[in-house]
Amino acid sequence: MISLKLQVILIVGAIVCALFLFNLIKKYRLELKYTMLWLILMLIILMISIFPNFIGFLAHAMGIELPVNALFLLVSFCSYAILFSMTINASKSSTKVKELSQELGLLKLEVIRLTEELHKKEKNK
Amino acid sequence: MMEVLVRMRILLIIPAYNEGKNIEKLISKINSECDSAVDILIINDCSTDDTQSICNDINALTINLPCNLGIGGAVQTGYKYARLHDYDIAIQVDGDGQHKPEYIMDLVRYITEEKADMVIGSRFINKEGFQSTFMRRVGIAYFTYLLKFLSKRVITDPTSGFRACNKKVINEFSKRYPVDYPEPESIMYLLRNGYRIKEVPVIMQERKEGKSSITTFKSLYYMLKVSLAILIDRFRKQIV
Repeated sequence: MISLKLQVILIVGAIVCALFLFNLIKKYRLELKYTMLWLILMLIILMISIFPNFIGFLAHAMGIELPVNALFLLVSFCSYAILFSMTINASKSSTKVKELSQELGLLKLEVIRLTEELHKKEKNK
Repeated sequence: MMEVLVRMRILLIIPAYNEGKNIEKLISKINSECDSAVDILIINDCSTDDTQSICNDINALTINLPCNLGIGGAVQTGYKYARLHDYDIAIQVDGDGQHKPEYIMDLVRYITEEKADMVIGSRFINKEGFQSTFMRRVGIAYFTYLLKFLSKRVITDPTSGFRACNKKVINEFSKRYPVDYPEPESIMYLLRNGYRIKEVPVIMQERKEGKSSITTFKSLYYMLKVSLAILIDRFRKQIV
């Protein structure tokens, strides 16, 4: 089991963080799509701190002596999941930026050509 | 009536992602139903099939997006175009042929008579035509209850993408529009800002070709995400 002190710290921490995220989304400064994993992590922490038996069961099942260690393992696993999703998003974004830049470059060229043609036509008049 | 329509400039926004098999029929049907009363704009959301070349062949006004933005981003492009070119009314019609063009003018009439700021074509008022699968209906009913709980308004078909809106709403949407699965959230957004939403009965068809973009696994995630989005939106005060 985890101590009552840790339980309280975890509950308060999870709620404060969730409210912080909630507020940022409300102000349109965070995109909900990329915040979902954080909210799920907070939910997991909240669940574990309210029902500490679960983490004891998990620790036993995984052969870990202290439940607290299982908690650390679980949280670090969740952090890696969030990090990995960030890597995926960064890759997607970089591909999109590349595509956009190429498209913009092509468009620029077209615009320059068109204006040149327009100038030529005006001169010929 | 006709005079009003002549003075009004109407834009039809058709988001299309891999709809090469449906789009040509849809455009010709719209042309025969609505004559030249409306301008048609197709948003090709970076399709991987022949949507682009087909749109080109039938000489339809098309915006070919360089990256796939998803339905929300694609539709918002249309609203931005409507705002840029000062359209009075914008109508969304899905590119898959689900929405029958016969009803476009019904939707427009509500806007021109200033009965509402946005009109939604609902398949659940008269319960006629294709009613969608059972699981889908459960999801839709859930959103209806959620919206009713948070805004005290009943929207029978909150996921319908068959919608018409006036200039004020075009301005709102071109500023802010949710990204994926945007319809229920945008309804909450409009209700919160005091816009009037009306529904008119329409008959929808089962999509003809291709698959719906929402899979079973994803739909659960979307339910959760959209619920959260609606809930958070309820706590926002004003448009920023």
